[in-house]
Amino acid sequence: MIDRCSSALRQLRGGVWPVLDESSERQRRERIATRVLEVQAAVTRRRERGRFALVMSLAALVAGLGAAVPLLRLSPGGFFSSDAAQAELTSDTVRLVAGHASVRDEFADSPLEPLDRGQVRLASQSVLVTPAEDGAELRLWSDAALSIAPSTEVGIVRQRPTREAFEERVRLRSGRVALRVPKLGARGKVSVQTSDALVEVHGTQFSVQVVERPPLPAYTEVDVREGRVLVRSGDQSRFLGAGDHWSSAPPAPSAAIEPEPAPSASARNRNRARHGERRPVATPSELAAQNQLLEDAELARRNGSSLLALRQLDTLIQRFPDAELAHNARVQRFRLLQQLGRDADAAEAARDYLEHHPQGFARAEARELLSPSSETNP
Amino acid sequence: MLLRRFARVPPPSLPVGQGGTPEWSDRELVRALELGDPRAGLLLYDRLIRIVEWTILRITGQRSSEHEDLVQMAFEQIVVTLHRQRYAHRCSLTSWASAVSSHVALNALRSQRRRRVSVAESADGLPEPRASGDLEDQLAARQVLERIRHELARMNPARARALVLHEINGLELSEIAGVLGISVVAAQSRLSRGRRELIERLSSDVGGRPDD
Repeated sequence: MIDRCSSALRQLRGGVWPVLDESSERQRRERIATRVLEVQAAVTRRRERGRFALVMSLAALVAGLGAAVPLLRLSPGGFFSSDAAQAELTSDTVRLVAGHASVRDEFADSPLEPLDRGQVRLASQSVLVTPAEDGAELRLWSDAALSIAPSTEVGIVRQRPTREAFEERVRLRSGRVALRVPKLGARGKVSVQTSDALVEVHGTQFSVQVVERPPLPAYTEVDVREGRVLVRSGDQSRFLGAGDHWSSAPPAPSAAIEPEPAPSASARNRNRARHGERRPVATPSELAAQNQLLEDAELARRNGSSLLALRQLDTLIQRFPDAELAHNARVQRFRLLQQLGRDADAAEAARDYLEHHPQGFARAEARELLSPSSETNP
Repeated sequence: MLLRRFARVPPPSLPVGQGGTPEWSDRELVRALELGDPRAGLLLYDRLIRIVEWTILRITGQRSSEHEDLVQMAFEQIVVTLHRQRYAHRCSLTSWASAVSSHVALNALRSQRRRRVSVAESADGLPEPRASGDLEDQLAARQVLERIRHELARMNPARARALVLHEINGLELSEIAGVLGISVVAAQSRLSRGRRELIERLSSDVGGRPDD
């Protein structure tokens, strides 16, 4: 039995795994090393608080309760808080990583104070303002990366509805923000609130924009690059997937002046999301067929049967052009053609990919593939 | 604040190799990390990234969009557990990292099973089937791997962890006992029960195919 089990498990030890490219690896190294130091600093702070509290307790015992209590009240951060983690959660710190931003209180005519680079405190009533010529990159408490566009006003609020759960909310007053949110688990949540929408996320990359159109009220636009977000607006709520676009603006009057050409698949997807429609939901059998086609293509590619792989990918794209997996299939297709040295076909496939998934995860790669050919074939 | 400053210990005089790269032992690295030495983050990454990534990839089976989060999560857990002194230099830092990573990856596997994710996020990084036979053989081999992962996610977590540490990460019983903070006898017990449970699960539907 031991042999059977060992042999089964040791199969997991085999395999060749692709390594990250140099640039991605460098970025990851810096990101994780920074995160390691941040976590270490946080746990050290917590430990120091504990030690300090212990020292002060002993001092209080020695000096007498009456003398010790005022001293403790003076200690920063409330060391005798019953919940040290809560004190840290509700602390108002963010980290300015790049760019420029100023801070003011919630009244628009109050003076602006430039924000220093690094860890800064930000009261819940404060508003961050970016200048017209520069944006800012912030790291929030939840480790979400917040990118603030120029001429944007945001506030950041932290809430702790229960002892374990936390929520970090970006209040977007005007302008545009983009977020990259790490996996927070079920207890953590990051959201973006505008005047007419609330976008909740758990692990994704997306942007939110408040579109001004005086004298009409502003509306909100959401673009999702990775993962899924939940958008609440009024009594409506809906999930958006990668590549989806949503707007709170009411649909334009349907008095069409002239017939429009048939929209592309990506345009159809955008329109569906805009009008609250969902993508066609694949039935389990369709999903299985899509999975099977993609898996077979991958297996054929690894087996050296590139043409077979291409055929499987083409079948998937033709049969399920709007499916989630067609996105992956289109990426695999242009990569495969490029590997085969069929540059013109690869460029064509990349163009097709960008047309269908302008915000897709491999858009940079596709554009890069297109750039040399566009230079040589203007 | 004053007391906090007093409590701070001066940085240690740790050995530095050629090119300014510190040549720290595990113990020195952990100490530097505790002291907030800015070099410690990069050094910890360089020392552990291979084992962390290797372990997570083996268990989850794909370099999905979640993979980078899992790697970061594993590093965060490593720092937190080092701080809580669970590590206590009972084993090498690498063994400790492999144990923490396997824990993170098994949790992710269970979470995936709960979510019943049926849509493949990306086919990148699927392992090469070891058999060099035809397409059908490779598909069958891959199904077996997926089945093993599926059952690892379903079985008793403590046993699954002991199994992974021994069979995939190659840790000896004494090391498993060290990283899990249990006795060698308890580690042996978890391992043998884990094997039995896994074989029973694998045999229940496929009639012992994994070994065929």
